[in-house]
This record gives sequence, C-alpha cells and structure tokens, in this order.
Amino acid sequence: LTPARATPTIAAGLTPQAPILNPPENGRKICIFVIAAAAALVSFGMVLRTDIQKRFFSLHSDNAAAGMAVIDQKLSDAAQGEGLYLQFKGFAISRDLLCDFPSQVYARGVFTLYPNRVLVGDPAKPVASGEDLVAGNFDPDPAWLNQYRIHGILRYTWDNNLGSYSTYTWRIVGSPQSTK
Amino acid sequence: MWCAIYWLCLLAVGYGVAAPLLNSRSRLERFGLAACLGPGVLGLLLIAVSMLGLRPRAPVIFLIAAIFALVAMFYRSPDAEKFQKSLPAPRWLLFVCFLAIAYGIFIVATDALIYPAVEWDAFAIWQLKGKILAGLALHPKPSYFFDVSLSYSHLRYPILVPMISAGIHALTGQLNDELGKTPFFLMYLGLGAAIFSAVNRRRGQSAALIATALILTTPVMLAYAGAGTADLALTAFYACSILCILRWQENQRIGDLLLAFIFTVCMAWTKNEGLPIGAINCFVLIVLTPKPLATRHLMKSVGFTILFVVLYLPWFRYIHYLPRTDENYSQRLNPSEIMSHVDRIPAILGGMAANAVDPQTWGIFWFVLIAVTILQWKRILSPPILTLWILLLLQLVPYLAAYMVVSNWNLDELLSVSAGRLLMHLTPAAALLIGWQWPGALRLSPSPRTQGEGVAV
Repeated sequence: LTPARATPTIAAGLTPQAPILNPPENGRKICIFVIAAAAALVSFGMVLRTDIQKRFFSLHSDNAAAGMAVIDQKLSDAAQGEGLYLQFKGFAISRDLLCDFPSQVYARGVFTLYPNRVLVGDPAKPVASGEDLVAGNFDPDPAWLNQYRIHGILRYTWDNNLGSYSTYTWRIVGSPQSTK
Repeated sequence: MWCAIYWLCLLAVGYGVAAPLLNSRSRLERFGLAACLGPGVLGLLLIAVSMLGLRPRAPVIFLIAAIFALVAMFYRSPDAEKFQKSLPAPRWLLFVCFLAIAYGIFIVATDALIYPAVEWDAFAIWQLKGKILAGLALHPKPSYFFDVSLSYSHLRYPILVPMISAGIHALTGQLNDELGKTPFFLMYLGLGAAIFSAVNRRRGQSAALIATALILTTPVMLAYAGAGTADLALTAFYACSILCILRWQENQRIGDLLLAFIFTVCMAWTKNEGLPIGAINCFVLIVLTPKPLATRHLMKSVGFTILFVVLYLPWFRYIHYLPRTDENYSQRLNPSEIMSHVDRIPAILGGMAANAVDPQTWGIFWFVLIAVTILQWKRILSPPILTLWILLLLQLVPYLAAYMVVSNWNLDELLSVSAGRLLMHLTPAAALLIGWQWPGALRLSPSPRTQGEGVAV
C-alpha cells in the first residue's frame, strides 16, 4: 500500500477495494487462508491450554499464591504495625535472587510493611542478591535495633532433615521512645 | 469505585491529549490511543509536579483531568473510518477469536483488579516504588533512592509506571496493595483496541480479530499484563508509537508525529529498554519518512529526536548522583566491551529462539508470523510492512548488545528470566505484521454490498 495510493482514499474515509481475482488465484488464496487460520487456531489452543492449566490446575501456582499469603501474614504478625528485623538460619543461598526464599521474604516484607522499615543487616550495605543478604545477616542486639526503631524480630530456620523451615518471632523489651 | 474514578481521570487526560492531534479516527482507535496516552501523560505530569516538591494528591489529579476533559470536549472531530468488513471469514474462526480475547480480558482483569501483587518484579520493584512515590515528593530526593539495602529494587529504574500506580494511592489516600495494578488493565484494553483498529483499517475485521486475539492471549502477555510490572505499559506505549509513526509515514500529519513523540517519551520513562527502542523510533522516523531529505520532513524528524533527548534529561540528571549497585549497562555498552563478547551471540540468539518457539510461552505466535510472511512474501516491500520489519529487527539489536555485556548474571539464567518479556515488547510490531499480511482480502466479484471491504496491501 503505497502512500500515493492510500492517502486520497483514506482521507475520504474510504479504503480501496481488493482486487477482483480469477478463480485459480482465488483458490490459492483460499488455501493460504485455511493454512493461516489453522495456524492461528493451533496457537490459540496451545496458549490457552497452557494458561488454563497453569492457573487452574497447577499445584505449583496455587502453592505460590498461598505461600505468599502465609508470608504476608507472618510478617504482619511479627511486625505488629512497626518495623521488623529478619533473620535467616541454615538457608543455602544461591546466586539467583529470584529463586532464593530469604530474598523473597525480605522483598515481600519491604513491600507489605512499607512505610515501616524491614532490615536484614547493616542498611549501609547493598542487598542486590541472596548472597548479599546472607553475608550481611547477623544477630542484632536491642540497642542496634532501637537505632532503627525496630522491636520485632522474625527468624526463619531451615531444617535440612525435615526439608522445611520453622519460624520464631520475638520482640525486644523497651520501645524506641523509652530508650530516648 | 476509586478504581473507576481513576480510570475516568486517565481516559479524560488521554482523550484531552489525543483530541487536538487526531483527525478522523474510529471510536475504537481513539479509545485505544486515549487508554494508553492517559496513564502515560498523567504519570509524566505527576512526575513533573513531584520533582517540583509536591507529592501526588487527589486535587492535583482531578485538576489535570478536568483541564484535559475540557480540551477533549472542545475538540470534537467527527468519527470516521468505520469498521471494515472483510471476506471471507468463517464465523467459527471469528467466534474462536472472540472467545480468546474474552478469556484474555477476564484473566488480566482478575489479576489486575482482584489478586494482590505476587509477581517478583511487581512487588519488589514497581509497586514498591509506587507506594514510595505516593507518599513522598521527588524533591527533596526521598531516602529510598539512597538506601542500598534496597538495591534489589533497582534504585535507578525509570519511574513512570510507579507514578501511574502512585496516582491511585494518592486518589484513595491509602496504600492498597491491590489497587496499584488496576491502571494497567485499562492499558491492556487500549493495546487491544489500538491493534484491532490499525489492522481493521487496512485488512478488515477478521484479520484484525485474529491479530488482536494473538497478541492479547500469548501466555507471556497473560502472565504480565495484570501483574503490575512495567512490561505491559512498555508494550502498549510501543504499539501506539509505531502506529503513529506509520500514520506519519502515510500522510505526514504533524498530529501523528506529536503523538508518536509523546508515546516515545513515555517508553523512555517506563523502562531502561524504552530508551534504545525510542532511539530506534527516532532513527526510523528520520530514515523512513517519505522524502527524508525534504527540509520540512527532516526538520520535524530531527526536532522529534532532539525533543526526545531533552525530555529524558531530567531523569538522567536526577539519577546521576544516586548509588549504582546493579548492572551498569550504560558504562559497559561500548564497542570494545561488545566486541570482546561476540562469542556470546550464538548462545543469546539460541536462547531467544528457544524461548520464542517454546509452546508454553508463546504457542506458535512467532511461527504464525513467519508463516504469513512466507505465504505473502510479495507484500514485504510495501512501505508499512517494510517499516515494521525494520523496527522488529532493529529492536533485537540493543537487547542483543545488553545480553553481550552483562556481567552480574549468568547468561543462561538471565535469558531464562528475561527473554520472554523482552520478546513481549516486540509483539505489537509482530501482531501488526500478522494482521496486515493476513490473507483475508479477497472476493469473487464486485458488488455494492462489499464496496470498501478488504484492502490489498
């Protein structure tokens, strides 16, 4: 469709007509159309099947969504409307941030508890990956936590024998206000 | 209810910007462009306001929406370019397309409107920034931008998508994890409407339905469109920008060039990938404009490019002094670094090709593109088809270069988590190619009833 041909007709709100085809050429076009339509149908079928299976019949996706809700609840309970320190014990940390459970919990905590603060170590050190997170994760003392007005600590401990994690929550005595 | 009010504000802004720039267009095309323009322009204006020291607030949003609504009412141009009918399209095929589109809309609506943000990039990066921008102005710089313990959230990423999400938090006056994703459902609808209208104008309804259904229902699109990430926004802005560029090539109307410019700026403020894609748009505008050396066209195209750079500069300056803890692409994307990793090209192309042919990620979307191109190979030299192919292939170049210089990631890992989304940004050009090359425009004999139906490209 060259501009020279298209512009006048389109400007008038019309579009040019398709060429009138002779029967053999039309037969070829119909064949092409049938092939293309079949390809489109197969594509729809495949993608919809994949998506429906993933969304409605896959245990993995259900677990992911439910797991996120469990983490959110645990974080909210531990923080009690304030900031939170997260500790991770026994987790094998891979370089891949996305597959890394502690990183997921940390990022989720920062998101759900915002504007309250979530720490996993010295805030002056970058946390760009799970490796960074574990390398900087330590047992904080109450005075250090008070600097950041954090009272709650949530510890995730991975048990290799059980193949699962346990959590332990506690709060430090004294509020930031009382320590000032 | 707040969601509906925010959508109305976004649409008012979109129609207000589009109205003076569009001539006769179908209602659906107006809606498609407005649904993508509104979030982009409102987001950019809120960023400007925020950089002046005022955080987004409901009165500011209402004021902006009211001004643009008045403009939209003032400029009412008649609708034109009604839907074209095309022959022959079996009803069952159109029915399947309707079903597919309905399924896509249902899934994206539930993801965007009902479920909380569970996609990693959504909650760790984009929606987190949205919450921050809703509560704090960009001037003085919020402490977030210097907090290296949040490096994983990419402190220097562009902020248009977070600001769009911040708008609805500002409107409701509270940080709601579910609401931040809702504007992107509107953009999903806008993307579908824009693609449908563009294909329908040249090839009729059946080709338009097929192209629209293909782009709206790829698994990657369904996974990310309602998730609250920036990929849908970038794809929608890109789709609209190339539609406007193609219109500009066709009729050289300044309104189309301005719209293309606005969408291109929105792309650069949406994701880092938007910057090179925007540069490609500038290149295509300059090189592929009809009579590119004619002073009038050349000045407009060069002006487009200069303004694009100027409007990105505020963000470039803003992030200049921020800590850099993630991959430094701007420093590593130099000829020597690229040349030293030429050996990665086969692995990168192989990884992207493997993703493109993965039926669980794409079905046979890319096969359909190749199939219709081979079947309709005679059309490949027509200007719009050629332009789309150039855009599509050029877009691969910066992605290829970025994969070549990446250092913080294992290449296979990075390809596995990002190739699908990068290919998603290419889908508008691919869907238009599928639609415009679709073999649907044929008829047996001339008849008054079918006049104007089907256009041979």
